[in-house]
Amino acid sequence: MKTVLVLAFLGLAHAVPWVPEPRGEQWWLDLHRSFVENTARNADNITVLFYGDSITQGWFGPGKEVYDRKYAPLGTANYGISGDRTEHLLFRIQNDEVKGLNPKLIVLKIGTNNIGNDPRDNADDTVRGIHAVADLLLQVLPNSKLLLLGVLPRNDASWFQLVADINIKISKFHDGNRVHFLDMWHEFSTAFGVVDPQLYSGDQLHLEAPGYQKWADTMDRLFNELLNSN
Amino acid sequence: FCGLTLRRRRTRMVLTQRQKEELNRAVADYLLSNEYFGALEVFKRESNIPPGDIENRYNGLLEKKWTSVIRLQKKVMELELKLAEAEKEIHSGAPNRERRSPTDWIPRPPEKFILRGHRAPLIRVAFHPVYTIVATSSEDATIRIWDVETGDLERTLKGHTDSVQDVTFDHTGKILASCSADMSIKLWDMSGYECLKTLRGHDHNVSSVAFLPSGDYLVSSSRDRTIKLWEVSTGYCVRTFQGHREWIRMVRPNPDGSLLASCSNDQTVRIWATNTKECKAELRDHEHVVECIAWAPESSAEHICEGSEQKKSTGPFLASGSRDKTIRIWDIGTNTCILVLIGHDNWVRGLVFHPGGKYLLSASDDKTVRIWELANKRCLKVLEAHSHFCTSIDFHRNHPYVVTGSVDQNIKVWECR
Repeated sequence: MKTVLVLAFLGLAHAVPWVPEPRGEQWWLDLHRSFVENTARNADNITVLFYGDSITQGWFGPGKEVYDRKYAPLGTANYGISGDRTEHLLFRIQNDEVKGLNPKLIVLKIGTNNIGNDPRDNADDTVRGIHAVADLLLQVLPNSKLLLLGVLPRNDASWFQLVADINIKISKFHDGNRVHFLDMWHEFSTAFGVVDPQLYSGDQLHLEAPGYQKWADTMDRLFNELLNSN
Repeated sequence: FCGLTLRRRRTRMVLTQRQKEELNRAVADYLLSNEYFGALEVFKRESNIPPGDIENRYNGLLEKKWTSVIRLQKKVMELELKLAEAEKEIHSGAPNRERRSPTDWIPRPPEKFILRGHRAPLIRVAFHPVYTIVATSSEDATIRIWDVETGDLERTLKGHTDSVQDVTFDHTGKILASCSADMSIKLWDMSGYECLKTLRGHDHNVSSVAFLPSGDYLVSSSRDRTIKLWEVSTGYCVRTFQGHREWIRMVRPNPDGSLLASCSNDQTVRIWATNTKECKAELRDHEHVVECIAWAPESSAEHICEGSEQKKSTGPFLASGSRDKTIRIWDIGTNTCILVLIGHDNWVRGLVFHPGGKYLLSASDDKTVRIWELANKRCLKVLEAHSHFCTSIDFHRNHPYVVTGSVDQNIKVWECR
């Protein structure tokens, strides 16, 4: 009984967005380990790194056709994991997922799972968490450039408001040198508070195949610019 | 030749009997206080002053009167000098004005007029492109047209049902456009003062409106986060620009109409290509809501380059004012901030470039107007303009007038010298 209570307490303990933290699920640990192995095996061939949550992981799902056409040929590793928050990315990066890598470009999109579900979650903490992830990546991959994407709009106006707040704040990380910020929100919505139904699935959070094409198209110019820069 | 007798000229002063008696007593008092007792006795006898003490009021009187001449002489000389200067001013204008060229004329206190009439805080003031007329808009939902040479109210335009956020004339001055928190844009005919058209389409408060140089199109910005381009002849919205994440405060086309600049609560300034809807740049350096923007005229380019120590840049250049109390000047050719003007103590609400190009004027919630010298990047002058937040400022294109509007419900007209 006591153990259960302690574990329950641990489970309820609120993670801190800027402090690295693993997840407990076995499938998560297995997936993380597979990324570590992929890195060890293919270090020399990884030019582009994708980091994020389910929407990023979706490049292997609804986005597969676009990914295989556009990004796989470049030598890309997709390290998005469904449900991840900033603290989980921090743990994964610190624990050998990028060991020995020297990618040209990192595409980072994270934050949507850090808001709105737990009453203790808030925009400013999420911003701080995203900043920590960006800083860590720049530090452990000193030759790489970072394409920091804004959190995508989701659901309804109150979510749009939260997301806009985060994006206004993380846009300040843009330095035009190593960090380049891009907010794609108006390409993914038809009005404020209304996601474009052609791009999203029914849950108004995850993207369908047209959404991945739109993502690729919207970031294309900046992506190529950074990939081909010195 | 016989010896000439020197004849001393004697000026005969005409004194009344009374004055003579008073003078004698004053002389007697003088002789007494200087202890010329012998002379005193003889004088008193010869001048028929009765024996006894001289009254107190003659005490020191002769000395006083003697030195008063010198004092009065000095005063007269000063007044004569002032008169000469004033006469010169009347004939040839303020002495410095001849040496100062119009590009250096800046607004100077005191204000020429205070225009009263609006019943709520002023939001925007805008000069007519040609005549000495100003349009003002207010939270009282009206627009007022004033003559700045006489201070008279020409007309009150009623029609909007909520705060009027912006007013602007087209380049001919024949049409006035206004936009409001009632979500509409209205076009007014300036000869009959009638409302010609009402444009609807925005989903929220319309914060600003501007004509493109041709006069055929109008651009507007809104709290609904969009910018819309409207065809004036039909009233249709022909293009919508999306991208800003929050309330857009102002939109302004550049002088040739190819670019639009906008500023927003999302703390950014964005540059758009008018014809393609493309957002060409997002300028992120401000740390709070960006309230206002102004494109620099051609004449400012050299001064801005000097002030920002840029090698010759063709620009174009844009100024932005923010709630972070700073004004930033951007080189839109390179999309970088090249100058930051710090000095205001509160939100910067309005900006306008001096037509001569040397100066930038700003209005702020710190109740002042500041005049900034671009080449030296310093604040040249602070005008204590109003008794409450100063919300808007404009400079006439062709006449030396500046107008300011305030939350104190007053409009002030300033002459430039």
